[in-house]
Amino acid sequence: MTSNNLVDEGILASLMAMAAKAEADEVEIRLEYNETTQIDTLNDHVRHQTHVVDVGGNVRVFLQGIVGFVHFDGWDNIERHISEATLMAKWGQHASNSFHLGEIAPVRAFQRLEAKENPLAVSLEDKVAVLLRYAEIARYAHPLIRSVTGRYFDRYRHLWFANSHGSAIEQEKLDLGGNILVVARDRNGVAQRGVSFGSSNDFGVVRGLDDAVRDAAAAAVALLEAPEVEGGEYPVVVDPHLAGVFAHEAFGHLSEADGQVGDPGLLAEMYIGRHFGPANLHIYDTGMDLGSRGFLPLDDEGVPATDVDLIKDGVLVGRLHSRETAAHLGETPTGNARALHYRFPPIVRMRNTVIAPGDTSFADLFQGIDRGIYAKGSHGGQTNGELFTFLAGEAYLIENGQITRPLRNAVLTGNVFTTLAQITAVGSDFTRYEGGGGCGKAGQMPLPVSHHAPSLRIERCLVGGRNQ
Amino acid sequence: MTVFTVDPGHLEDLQWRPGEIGDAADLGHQVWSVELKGGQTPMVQHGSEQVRAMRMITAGRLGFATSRTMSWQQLKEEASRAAASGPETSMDEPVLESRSNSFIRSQWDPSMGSLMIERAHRLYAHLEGLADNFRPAVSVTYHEIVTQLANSNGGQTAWRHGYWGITAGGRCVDGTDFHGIAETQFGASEIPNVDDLFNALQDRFLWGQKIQRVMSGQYPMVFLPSVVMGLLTPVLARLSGPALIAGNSAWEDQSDQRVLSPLLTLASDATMPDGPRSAPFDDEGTPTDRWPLIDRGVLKHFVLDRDSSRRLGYEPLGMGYRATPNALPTSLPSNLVIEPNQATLGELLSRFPRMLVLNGWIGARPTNPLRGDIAGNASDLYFVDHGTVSGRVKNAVISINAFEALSSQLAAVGEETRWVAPGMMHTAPAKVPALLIDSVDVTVRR
Repeated sequence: MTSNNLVDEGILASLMAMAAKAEADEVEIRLEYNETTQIDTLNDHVRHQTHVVDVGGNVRVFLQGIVGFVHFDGWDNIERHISEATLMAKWGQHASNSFHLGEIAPVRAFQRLEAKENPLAVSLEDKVAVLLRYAEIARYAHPLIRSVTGRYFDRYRHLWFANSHGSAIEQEKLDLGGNILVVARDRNGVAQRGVSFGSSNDFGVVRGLDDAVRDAAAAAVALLEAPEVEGGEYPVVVDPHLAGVFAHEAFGHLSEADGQVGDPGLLAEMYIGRHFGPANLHIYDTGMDLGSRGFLPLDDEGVPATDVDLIKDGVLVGRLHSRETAAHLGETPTGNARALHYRFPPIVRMRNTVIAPGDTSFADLFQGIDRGIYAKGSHGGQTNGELFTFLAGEAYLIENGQITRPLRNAVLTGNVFTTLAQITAVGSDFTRYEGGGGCGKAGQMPLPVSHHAPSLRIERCLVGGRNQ
Repeated sequence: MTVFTVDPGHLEDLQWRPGEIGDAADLGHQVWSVELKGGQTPMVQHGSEQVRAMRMITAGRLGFATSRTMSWQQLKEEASRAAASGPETSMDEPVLESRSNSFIRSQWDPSMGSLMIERAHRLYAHLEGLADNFRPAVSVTYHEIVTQLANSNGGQTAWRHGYWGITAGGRCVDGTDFHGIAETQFGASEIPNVDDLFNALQDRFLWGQKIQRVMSGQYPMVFLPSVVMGLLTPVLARLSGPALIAGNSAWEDQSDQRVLSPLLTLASDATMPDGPRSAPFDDEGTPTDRWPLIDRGVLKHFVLDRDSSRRLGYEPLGMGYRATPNALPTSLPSNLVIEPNQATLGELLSRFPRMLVLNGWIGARPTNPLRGDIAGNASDLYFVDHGTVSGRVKNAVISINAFEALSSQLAAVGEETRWVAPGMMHTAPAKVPALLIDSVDVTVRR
């Protein structure tokens, strides 16, 4: 089904009328039509392919300091769902909490999808053919390549949102991505490396990855013989992909205000004006970068996107908000309330987290390093606020300022507060990295996000390893 | 306005024509939850999902369709169309017993909601009392899933299972030191005891009041149940159908061979009374049972769905599950169980004069699941001096190879087992004890 035959002027008018007459302090109603295609290939054949249509919605009611939330399949009986959400809120009336939501002017908008190459117009056969061709390229790249798996998904969402304050929004969204995972195997074991891709408006990003797939095959083979990294503290140079993951894991999550409200200890540390890094460190979060997976012109509370500076000139200047957290801290909603699907309420999430480029050339990042680690790409990361871990896709030893040999199992960890202070150079090689993974929080995973960054040099980074 | 309606048609309405091969599943999932978190508006939630899934096999190719609103006939047509370009499959259909679904009724009644709210508030109040700056978080949930299955062999069956879950914890932030604690308990029969849960959290909180410095090196370490699943993820990768079919598993020819320590017995068990996945059938309608995967270190069975079983020449054992209601069944264990041994936690902590206890391991996912290398920042690590916990260890990275840890380094298996909920990094519920692993590499910031 395409978007055009879903445009229905009556939907928003009906939702607004229902929201206006609900007996609650605030009511939001969301309806969704989701269409998802997923393809998994193994070597020369399709392993799984699915095409799923989800239709449903949710109602969120705020009543005397309690939230009642109901999600449902289909679009029947919306008024009954509003009553049920109100009942849920009344159920919870043990609490004495008062609440406020950040005020925003009512928004009336229709955000239509503007795709460069719309994946819904690409046949399933063509999508499969692209994945299988990459598998062929990788398998021919080296005799030790044992298997190649391809994963592709695209998800079209059409959303209708109305609240009792007069906002009425219709949005189309697109998310696509995937990866090619190359596995090499010899008598020593197995090693893997992948190529990842993603976009919010262009199937074209899936094409033209031939060289990247060949590089992944070569890296997987090289990793077979690589010794495990020696644990310890190193000066580390991270490539733009890993630097983006670092910004997301090490600082982005800490900036999400739902982790700060109600925590006097953390708020005492995360005060606006605190010094957090070198003077040329600039980290921001944006929903306005057309084409990135974090593109989000309106969030799931109907708040328009803003660019949110988090660290500017090495100083903490902002944080990420929903309407509730903004009101709690007396700040302005930033358009960061996001829900993965209609089964979930919106919570504070990142969109596209960006480290602005610095002025150090790539070669100069390695100057003066006698023994260090160059880390490229990422298998993901995690944080608990204070600590972070990220897994490098590839790692190389730096000796006397030169990259010398590959290492395996490089896991970079640290304390967020001290590690940001140990960034000593920000590269000029700014790169827009768009991968096919996603962010997980409170059971909502994988949420499409992006991170764009240059390379970074970090001193005294703690690297895990079994050889010491 | 446009309305998408959930079709109330029943599985009995589904007709199979001669020669058709396929199956149909109707999955009803309801969840109720109460969430309380410091500084945030309390939330009471109810969600319902009604998913229909159809698999059709045409000329040896599998077609899959799922919907929340289509009729069975529409789904069947879509699955048949998808089969034309679908993957080759060796899957067959089990013979289902004919069983009426008339006894399947929801267990939910409103008094359960009141109980959830009361328990959530009681636990929250206990946690608030731990310290002035402690920020509590409590979530109480009840899930109920009704599964109905029918296939082209003509059978039909249905079952319901429900389970409770409580996740509780919180943190104190003092300067740049975050002292976080969290525990999850769940069970099918009754709501977990919140006082026991609070006592466990309080013990952990008290353990961590003091900071203990340690040097980098190798230590004996007790992995508490919440982090044991991190070690099992690579094991499951080697046991699972996709890795075997791709030729990536080093265990493909190791049946009946010793692959792990004789102290370790690992099973997929769908018969446990309290198990979230306990049911007479898996999600493909294959009868389930308790199957040893690793028996005293010897590889006994792989984790295979019907397609993987047939491709690899094994009899299906009922290990085909959906990770989400919309997904195709794939090779997953039912409830994953490590058989407990005799050592209490106190005995484990007394085995070595100086050792560590790990309960939180940030980012501890394998950089290469099939090889088993894992490293991550320890977010909840304690030092034990002659059997007594003497403080919390910070700024430490734990590095391990899961296969070596569960082979030559495994020193003892605990007696008390705990449920660990499925999460982002593991897709099966597990009931596991603490494991004592020797010579674990710890790198500490100087």
